[in-house]
Amino acid sequence: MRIYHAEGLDAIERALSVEGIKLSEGVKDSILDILGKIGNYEEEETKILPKLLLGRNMNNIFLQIPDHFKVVFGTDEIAGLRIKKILKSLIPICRNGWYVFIDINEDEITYGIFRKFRSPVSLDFEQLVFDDKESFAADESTGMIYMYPNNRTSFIIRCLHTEDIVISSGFKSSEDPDEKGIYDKLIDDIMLQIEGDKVNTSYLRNAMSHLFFLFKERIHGAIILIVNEDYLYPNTYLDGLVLKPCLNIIQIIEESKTVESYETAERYYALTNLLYEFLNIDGITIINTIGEIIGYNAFYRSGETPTDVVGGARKRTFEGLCRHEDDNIVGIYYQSQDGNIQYVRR
Amino acid sequence: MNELVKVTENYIVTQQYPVEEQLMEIVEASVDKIQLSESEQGKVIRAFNSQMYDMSVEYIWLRTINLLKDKLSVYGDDFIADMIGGNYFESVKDISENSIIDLAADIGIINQAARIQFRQSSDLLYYYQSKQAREVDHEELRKPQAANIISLCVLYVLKANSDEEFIPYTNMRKDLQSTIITRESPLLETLKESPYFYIRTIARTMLNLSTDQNNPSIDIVLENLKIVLITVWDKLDDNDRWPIGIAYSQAVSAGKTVLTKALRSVLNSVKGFDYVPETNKSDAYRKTAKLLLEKHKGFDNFYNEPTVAKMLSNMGTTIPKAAVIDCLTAVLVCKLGNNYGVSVGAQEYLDEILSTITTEKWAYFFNHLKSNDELLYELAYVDRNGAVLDNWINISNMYGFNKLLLEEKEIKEFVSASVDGQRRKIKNMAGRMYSEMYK
Repeated sequence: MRIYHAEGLDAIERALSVEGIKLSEGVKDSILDILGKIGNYEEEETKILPKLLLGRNMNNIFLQIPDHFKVVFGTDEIAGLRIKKILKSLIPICRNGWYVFIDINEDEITYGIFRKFRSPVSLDFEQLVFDDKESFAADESTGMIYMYPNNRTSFIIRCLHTEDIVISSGFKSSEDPDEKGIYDKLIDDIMLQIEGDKVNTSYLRNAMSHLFFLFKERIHGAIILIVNEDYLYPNTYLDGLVLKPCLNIIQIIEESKTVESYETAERYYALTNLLYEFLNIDGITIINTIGEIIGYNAFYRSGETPTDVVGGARKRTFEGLCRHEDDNIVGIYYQSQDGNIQYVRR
Repeated sequence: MNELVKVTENYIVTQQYPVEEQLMEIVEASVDKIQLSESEQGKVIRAFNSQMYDMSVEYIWLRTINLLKDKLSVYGDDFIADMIGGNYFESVKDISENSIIDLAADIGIINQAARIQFRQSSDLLYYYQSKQAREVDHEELRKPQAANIISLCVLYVLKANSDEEFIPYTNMRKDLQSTIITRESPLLETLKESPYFYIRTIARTMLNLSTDQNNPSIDIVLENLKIVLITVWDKLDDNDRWPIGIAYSQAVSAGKTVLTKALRSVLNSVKGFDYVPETNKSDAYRKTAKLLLEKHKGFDNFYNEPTVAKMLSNMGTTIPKAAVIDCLTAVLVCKLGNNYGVSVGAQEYLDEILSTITTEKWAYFFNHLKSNDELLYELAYVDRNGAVLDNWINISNMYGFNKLLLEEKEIKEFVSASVDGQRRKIKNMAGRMYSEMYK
């Protein structure tokens, strides 16, 4: 006996119907094929997180997005005879903010890639489109769904005209962690000792929030230890690389407010990318409460890692830090390779 | 210095003084009170009676312009920057005399007759102060000219009741920040029937108020922003719609969620997303064009224009659609020159820019000529013994304006007159279209 994921399929069909997107059997099969492996999508053994936009009259939506860039890579008959081949070559581009779009019009399908360019604080494509659904409520000429992986076992479908759907292949009903809540706490702690006026603080928080929301896309597992200014590193239980001088995230963001040259803009993106690089390197990244990255690639000295924790080395390190008695530790952020995130505040 | 008395947050008057009999004789009108002290009036009268007309006029002119500056400064530098359309200056004190006059007229501090006469007087005074007038032409300000300028200053700005016309704009600005207006509101009806320049001023005011993060009544402002912009959208010309699309783009870039939502709601309602620029490059073009125009209107324009013209020319050969009207206006006005000639050093850069303009862009520019007050004013009221029109006719022929696909009959007629060199017709039509904006 074979059992299919019928409830998930129903939800996808409902979303397509509400958005008025009519797919030929060929196109539908190809999309379902990708969705079936979207959390584990790989090309040439490289993990990819596909971000797919499927809709009709999508130019109406793109027109509303300032500072965007769109390239059409090909068209197809409405039956979608070339869809598999085209998507196979487009999906690997889904990095650094690029989306693949499939625009189903009356007599043809258009394939391409789309990206919105952003300042450190600007609203991104998803905020503009899906966080303000009221704008599309009365617009029947347009429909769109956005599909992207949530983690290895689930993906999300965001719609213009109905609520978002999380489709999971798990057997248990589990709530996803409140990502915004977690990142808000992390930002609060990184800025714990920062004083400033309301406008500046709001800019800093906004920029940091943009940086952290990309963790799931840019990082394949990390631990961040948030400590206060009195924290000494290396110390009796942690050892690793020390940054001298420290890399101050707050300062980098503040400098981005006045972009005087290409070099200044490049500096912002290069230095913030460095944060992602540190996090992607094995070990713990240490940030203090005035926004300074003081060290990375830090590990427990031998014998300090707890042995009674089920899980890999990262999980055990995280649990160990949570238990460690040190008043100068403020919080610990954990992100597993599967994309699950957690923040424990001391 | 005039003594300013603040009446409300947005409204000021100056100290009033009785008018000296001799000043009324110069002005040839009866005036009760004036915003010049007895001592200041005495200086004007003594210089005039001693036949030092230039001194007499310069003194009262400076007082008048300063008074206009003081009244404008009440609205804040951000507002002035938005109205002028640039961000290259820090305060109202940095903008040219002609821009102060234009702004005062746009807000309603002076009327349109005063605008034209003040701008002409400004040019005249600039000429009489120049080396050309003193050493080459051997010209100096004569008594009737001096009396005329003194009269203008007194009757349009300095006399006591001159603030009356100022009140409607101030009140409307205040209402737009304090009361949520509805579709039935009389204020909207008044606005719909207002002259074009006033509609444009209110649209710019709303955009300016909505971007002020410290405004305590921002919620009311944003609600009103929506209804006002949606109401006036159809009346706004393309060049005045672009700032709304640009403001939306800038709100997105600055991460201002609430403002983004409000502007998006406007653009959604009016189907105006075509006015959202593809890149924020267009704003830089618009601001540089405004700066060029500002340099052209200011003192020492012959020396200041080349640097900015070069800057504009170096920005690239493809002017974005959102900036076409502003760029071409600035370039053409500089090409035509002012009452004393053209900036020779700027010509090569201006010609470079004009040579890159496609026929589609020229057509777009001319199809929106009727709301182009800067160019129309230049053609109607700046003459230079016919040299301004000579330049215009040359440009019209050089760039083949007669081959453009234009929409309106009146504009086709105007372009045809320009190519055929019908001077009187060009001047009359430009003057008529200019006046239409203020009716």
